[in-house]
Amino acid sequence: MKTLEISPERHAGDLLSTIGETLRAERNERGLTLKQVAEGAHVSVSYLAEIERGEKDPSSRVLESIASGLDVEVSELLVRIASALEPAPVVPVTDSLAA
Amino acid sequence: MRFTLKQITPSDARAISRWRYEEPYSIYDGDPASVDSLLQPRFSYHSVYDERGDLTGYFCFGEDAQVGAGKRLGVYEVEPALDLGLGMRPDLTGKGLGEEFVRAGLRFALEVYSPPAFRLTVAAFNRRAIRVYERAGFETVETFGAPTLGAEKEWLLMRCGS
Repeated sequence: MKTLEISPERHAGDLLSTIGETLRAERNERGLTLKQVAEGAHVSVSYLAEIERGEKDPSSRVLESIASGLDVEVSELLVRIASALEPAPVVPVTDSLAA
Repeated sequence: MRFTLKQITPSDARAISRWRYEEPYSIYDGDPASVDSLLQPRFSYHSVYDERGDLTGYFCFGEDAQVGAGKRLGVYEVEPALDLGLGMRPDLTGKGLGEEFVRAGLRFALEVYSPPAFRLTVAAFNRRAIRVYERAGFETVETFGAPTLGAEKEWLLMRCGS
């Protein structure tokens, strides 16, 4: 018997690993260590490393703390996560109407 | 206990990265992903050994001991000083060994770096560590926080003349 391969977990996992990869990229771009960002965020190095690997799901409060540890606005962080999830560039509505 | 500092080794860094602390100190738990930065020469990580040569903790000197929020506020630019970061092996904490441990690090750093002063940044909740630093000669010079994190999440900047 053939089963349909619909797995919503796959998508959840993709989001989680994208969040993690984005956080790691932001940290590396700033030349910061896990310790520096974790201390700045008041979270442990182990927790931050797990989030970066997509093993732990950070709450919105934790994302805010990590943004603070990275010295970025949480809104900027979310935009970067969104653009990493969406391969096509986001076209503003006005542009698409004009075309 | 007599403590001796030496340049960190890869096997020490791997051991340190796996240390786990009891609450409320789990915020100091490491991760194998941080081994690379523990071994980066510019962060000057050092292992601390006891008389038997067992690993008892670590110190780092300089940049990795500074907190981002403090850098942003410029607290590290007010006066020149060498920043210390340190940690003891979890099973040795809470046993009254901290002061001797810190003094060993200060003696070593004075000899190697001859800084104008020592400085460290500690989370305000960590009363146990703050008491140790005070006994070792540190005084609180500033309290700072990150506006987005709320009042309960603050750091103390402590200083000690060399």
